[in-house]
Amino acid sequence: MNKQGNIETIELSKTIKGRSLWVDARRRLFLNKAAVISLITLVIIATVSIFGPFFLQYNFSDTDWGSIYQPPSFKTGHYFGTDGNGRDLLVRILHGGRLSLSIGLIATFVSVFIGVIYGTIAGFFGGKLDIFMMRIVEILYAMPYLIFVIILMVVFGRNIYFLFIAIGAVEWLTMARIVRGQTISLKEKEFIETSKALGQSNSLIIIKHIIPNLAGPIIVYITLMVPSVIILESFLSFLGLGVQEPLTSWGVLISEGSREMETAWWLLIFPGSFMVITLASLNFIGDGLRDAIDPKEY
Amino acid sequence: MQSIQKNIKNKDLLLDVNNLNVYFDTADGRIQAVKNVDLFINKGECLGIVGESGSGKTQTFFSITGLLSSNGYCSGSAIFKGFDLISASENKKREFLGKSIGFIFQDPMTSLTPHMKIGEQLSEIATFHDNLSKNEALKRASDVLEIVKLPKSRNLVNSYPHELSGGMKQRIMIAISLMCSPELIIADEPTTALDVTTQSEILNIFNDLQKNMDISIVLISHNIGVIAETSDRVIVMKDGMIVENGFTYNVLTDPKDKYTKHLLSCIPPWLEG
Repeated sequence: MNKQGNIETIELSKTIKGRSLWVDARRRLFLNKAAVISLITLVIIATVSIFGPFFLQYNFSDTDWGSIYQPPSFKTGHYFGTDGNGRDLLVRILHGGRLSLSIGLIATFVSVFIGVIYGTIAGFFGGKLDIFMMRIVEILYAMPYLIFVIILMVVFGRNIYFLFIAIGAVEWLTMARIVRGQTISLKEKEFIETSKALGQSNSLIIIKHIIPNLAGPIIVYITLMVPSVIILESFLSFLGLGVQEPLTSWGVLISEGSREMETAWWLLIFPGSFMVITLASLNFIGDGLRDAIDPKEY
Repeated sequence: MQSIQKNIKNKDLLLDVNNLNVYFDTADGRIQAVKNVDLFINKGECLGIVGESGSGKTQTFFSITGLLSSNGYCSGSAIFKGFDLISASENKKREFLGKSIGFIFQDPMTSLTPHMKIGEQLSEIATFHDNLSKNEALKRASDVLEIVKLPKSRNLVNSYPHELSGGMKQRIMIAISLMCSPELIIADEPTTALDVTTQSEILNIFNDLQKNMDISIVLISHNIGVIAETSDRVIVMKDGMIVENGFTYNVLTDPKDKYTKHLLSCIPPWLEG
C-alpha cells in the first residue's frame, strides 16, 4: 500500500522539474527590489566605464591649457567640467572606473583564491596543521597592512598590476578565517562522513563536497569585499602609493577633488557620487544575496 | 553487473575481527569505548548488533572503516578478505571503502550532499572506484535504483536531495553503497530516523540484498524488532563489550545473559505475540 504511495509521489514529481538551491536563490534575489535596482545600476556603470570613453571626444590624458577648471557645461562638451590641467572630467571618471572596478574584481579574486584554498586546508585537516596555519594568519593580521603594502611596493616596484596582487594578498586573511570556520562546521556534517566512508580521497572531498557548499558565504563575502578593496585602493592612491598619473582611479580623482572642493566643486562631487553609487549598489547586492542564499537568517 | 546475478551460497569468512579496542582521548583522560571485541561475518550473512546508546556498537564499525573522530585510537585486527583494515594505510583502506564495503548512516536527511543531483552522487563513486565514464556510471545508477525499488525514471536522477522523502533518501544511500558491487554493507541504524512503514520497506530491501545478491550485512540497531526481522546472528553489546553472541532465534527465545534478558523485558508487552 505504502509502496504504491511512494511510486505515485515519484510519478507526480516527474512533471515538476528539479529545482536546485541556486534557482531558488536566484528567484528570491530577483524578488528583492533594492538588489535588482543595484544590479542594474552596477551593470550600467560598468558598461559605461568600459565603452564610454570610445564615444567621447576627449582623451583621458589630453591636457588643454586653454580650459582649466571649466565648470560642467554642454556647450564645451565637458559635461562634468575639467580639472586643473584642462582634462575632461567625465572621461577621466570613466577611465578611473575601469581601474577601480577591475582592481576591485581582480584583487578580490586573488584574495578569494588564496583564502579559500588556505582556509579549506586548515579547516579540513585540523589539528596541528590548522593551529600552525591560523597562527600565521594571526601574525599577518597583527602587521599593519599599510606597512605590508608599502614594503611590497618598495620591493617589487610601483606597478598597477602589482597593486592588484598586493591588495589581494592583504585581504585574503579574513577570507581564510571565514572559510576555515565554515569548513570546520561542514566537515562534521554527515554527508562528508558518507563521502569518507565511500572511500573518496581528501582532495576530492574538498573540491566536490566542501567548496561548493561554501559558495553561499563566499559569494556574499565577495560582494562586501569588492567595495572594501576599492576603498583600500583609494586610500593607497590618496597616500601616493596607488595609481600614478596620468592613469587615474576614483580614489585618485576624489583625493584631487577634495583639495579643490572650495573652488571647483565638480571635481569632488562627480567622482564621489560614482563611487558612492557603486559601493552602495554592491552592498545592496551583497545583502540581497545573503538573504537569497540563506533565507533562514533574516 | 556481476553481483546482481545470484551466486551459489558458500559460507566462508568475510570479515574477522579480533581483540578490537577503541579509545578516545577526552578532557577527562583516555576512555575505552570498545573492549576486546571479537566477531566475524560470513559471506551472505546478516549480523545484527544490538545495544543501548553508548554501548560502542557504532564505534566498533567506525574503527574498522577508519571513520573514528580525530581523538580516537584503535588496536586489534580486522581481517577483510585476508587484509587487515586496522593497520592499513589511509590510501589502501580507501580502495576497500565504498568498493567492497558499503556504509549506510543513521540519518538519510543529512547523508546526501545537498548541492549535488542524485545521479551525480550515485555515479561519482563508480567513476573513482571503477574508472567508469560518466555515462556508464549513470547507466549503472539507474540499474541500481531498480534494485532498491525506486522506479527507473530519469527525473529521480536529475532531482536534488531536498526534493525526496526520508525513505527515498535512505534507498538512495543504499543504492550508493551498491554502486560498486560490495560484499559487505554496514548499516548503522538505517531505520531509526524513518517511520515504521518505511522502516519495513527498507528492511525488506536488506533481506533481498542478502538473499538475492549474497551480500553480507551488518545491521546496527537498538531496536530488537528490527534485528529479529532481518538478522541470522545477533551480538548484544553493553559498555563496549559483547555480552551475548549467537543465532538470533536462540538469543531472543533463550537469552543467557542478564542484560539481554533485561533488554528483552523492555519491549512493551503489547508488541509480543
